[in-house]
Amino acid sequence: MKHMKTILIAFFGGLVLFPLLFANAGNPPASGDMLSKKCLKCHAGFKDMKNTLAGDFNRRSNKAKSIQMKINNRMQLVKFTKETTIKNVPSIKALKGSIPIRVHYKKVGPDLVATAIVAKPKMDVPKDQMISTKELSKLVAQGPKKGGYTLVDSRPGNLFMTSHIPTAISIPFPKMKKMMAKLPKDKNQQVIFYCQGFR
Amino acid sequence: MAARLAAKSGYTNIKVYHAGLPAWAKAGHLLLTTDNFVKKRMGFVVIIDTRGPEAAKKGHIQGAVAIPLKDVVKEKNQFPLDRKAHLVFYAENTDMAGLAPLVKEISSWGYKHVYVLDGGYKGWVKNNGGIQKGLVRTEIFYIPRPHPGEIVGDEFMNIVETQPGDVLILDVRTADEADGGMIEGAVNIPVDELQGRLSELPKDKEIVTHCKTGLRAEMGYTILRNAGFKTRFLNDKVALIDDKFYCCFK
Repeated sequence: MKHMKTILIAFFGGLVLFPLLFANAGNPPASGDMLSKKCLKCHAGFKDMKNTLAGDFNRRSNKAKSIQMKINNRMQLVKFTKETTIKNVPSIKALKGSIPIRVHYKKVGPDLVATAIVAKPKMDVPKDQMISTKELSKLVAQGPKKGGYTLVDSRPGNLFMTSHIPTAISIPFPKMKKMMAKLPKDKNQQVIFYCQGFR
Repeated sequence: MAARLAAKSGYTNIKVYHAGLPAWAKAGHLLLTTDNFVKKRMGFVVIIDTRGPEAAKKGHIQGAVAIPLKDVVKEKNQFPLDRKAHLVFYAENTDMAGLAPLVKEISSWGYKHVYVLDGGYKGWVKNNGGIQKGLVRTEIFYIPRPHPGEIVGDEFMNIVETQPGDVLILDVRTADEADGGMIEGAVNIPVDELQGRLSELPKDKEIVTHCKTGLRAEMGYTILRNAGFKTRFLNDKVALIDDKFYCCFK
């Protein structure tokens, strides 16, 4: 009897596992995140969008008609076609570096095919708030005390560690509320922000 | 946006350097790097001790090359071909005034990552960075940092020659390209068909992808990795001319 039971379990277990194993082959990778945490921080609404990927552009191959994007710590491939619409950059070729993108896709057979690729739009900064490279370099040459400024690097800490503008302090944007004490006490003092820049 | 948040908290004199760090670097202005970055990147970064060989003999950053400040520009042809190489210059301290003209000149050669070490040699020693004494190299050498999942060219060649049973070479070029010649023993599945043909591949072998340049090989690697395969990719150029196979140049 005992043997019978084991055999039965093995048999039925096999029946359950068998289709699972094969159903997996060929399906789009269901594992892993489709929306990067970084995007969700400011765009929680992405969660409600169906068939949407959000992350950073990584590579494009015309021969494979595919782009590769980074979502959190993994890569994801999406195909593109002539019908794929591109927003906020002139063409798919203008996607460069690691520009944040949102991709709306449909499933075609085993593949994800982009219907629309939306690049992160340009930041809207009031003109009187803008500071040029020339103006900034003059201030940096004087130093924060003499120049009367605080220069804030809003990028993630690892990018600050790699390289930063001299005299800058690191306040990654997501941590800013907690790190407000790093800003000058005098609220009339000049505070300059910079990040990885926009196209 | 950080500036808006600061305005909300009452800051009245806010500026935004909208062009950001890439524009700063492009203008040839100096960027500072940190001990932590150099430590993390050790082996895949060019470190130049601008104090020169005499000072460097008494102690220099591990892996550094000693070239006196005034001679660095003369050694242009020694610099790596790869313009994306990370180059770190240091002096005794954070010598921005002394190193700024050099950074500007070297950036103008097209290098995208030219940095000055914040704190210089003194800062490095203070933060317990590794040092070497005595003999110091004076010739620049550079090894690019491999991407995650990348297989070294030599190892790939070895697989091609010995065809071990536990490795499958996957050619992810188009069928047309593969018709022009393939590596012996390789299987061709174009990368744009790969997602739909995963069931053709063995789960018990390591799958090493290659294409013509490395771009599609990496995409194939991504697909396989996401599907749970054991995989690596060749990030080098491969040429098949008259059925002869030439491999592994960057």
